[in-house]
Amino acid sequence: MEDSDKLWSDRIPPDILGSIASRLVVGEYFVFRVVCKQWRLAPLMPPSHRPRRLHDDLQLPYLMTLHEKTGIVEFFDPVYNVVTTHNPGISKLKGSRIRSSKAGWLLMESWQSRVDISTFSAKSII
Amino acid sequence: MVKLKSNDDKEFEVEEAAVIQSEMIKNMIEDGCATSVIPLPNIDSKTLIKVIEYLNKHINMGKAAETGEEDDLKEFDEQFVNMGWEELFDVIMAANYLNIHELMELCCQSAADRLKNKSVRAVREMLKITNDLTEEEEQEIINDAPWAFEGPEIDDTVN
Repeated sequence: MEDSDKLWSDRIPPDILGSIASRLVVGEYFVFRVVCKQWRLAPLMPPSHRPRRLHDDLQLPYLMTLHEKTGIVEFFDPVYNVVTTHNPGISKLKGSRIRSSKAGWLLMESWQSRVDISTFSAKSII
Repeated sequence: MVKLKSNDDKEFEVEEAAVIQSEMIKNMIEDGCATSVIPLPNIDSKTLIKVIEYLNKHINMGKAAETGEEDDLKEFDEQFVNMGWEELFDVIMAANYLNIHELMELCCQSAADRLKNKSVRAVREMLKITNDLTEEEEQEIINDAPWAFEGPEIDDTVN
């Protein structure tokens, strides 16, 4: 096939790319977005087996579990029924506890300091 | 029987019960537009053979649950998507054009499963993608979640 080098970057329609991206969770999605420009711009879509509703545009919640001793974080995606483990743990989170969460942020407590961490992008304010 | 013609002029006969899993062809049949051969200018014979294989296997999908053939179908699906990236691309484009929902789901899920835990370098090499992001754009995404790009589970192999 001619131009076979551009199949997955230029010739793949954005909605199909979006359908693939929507099946990835947490860290996998960040890797996906760094591959090339088309992939970075792929629209995220709700799973097609669910009826489309207005609030599908909202981000759906993950259930997050933090293992205190190791700092390993697990995310459970209730829509796809998938558990993604971030292993090895985030060393900064070792010995921390989640105290509260609001608007995509977590209030963490550790013996060293108080840390606010955004669940999705892992940004922190110490 | 319904006749389909690939873009390299090969004709295939498919049972109507199988081919109506394609929403596009189902609509054509309902509108009375499928009386002779249906030309498929976007699909080559190699890809069409794969798609027909899928349609024939999934012909009685509704009944599979009752007859206990679900495992058999699952095994078939796993084998079916065991193909290279270029072939997967062709099947996805064909399924998209013919509007075969279940086949699209299967192929997109397979693509996502293959990308899981792969390094950026490995993904680019496997799919023959040239990186056209600037270093700043790339770094911006990495800075959002540096942990997603490191760790022993990241697989840098190309297969």
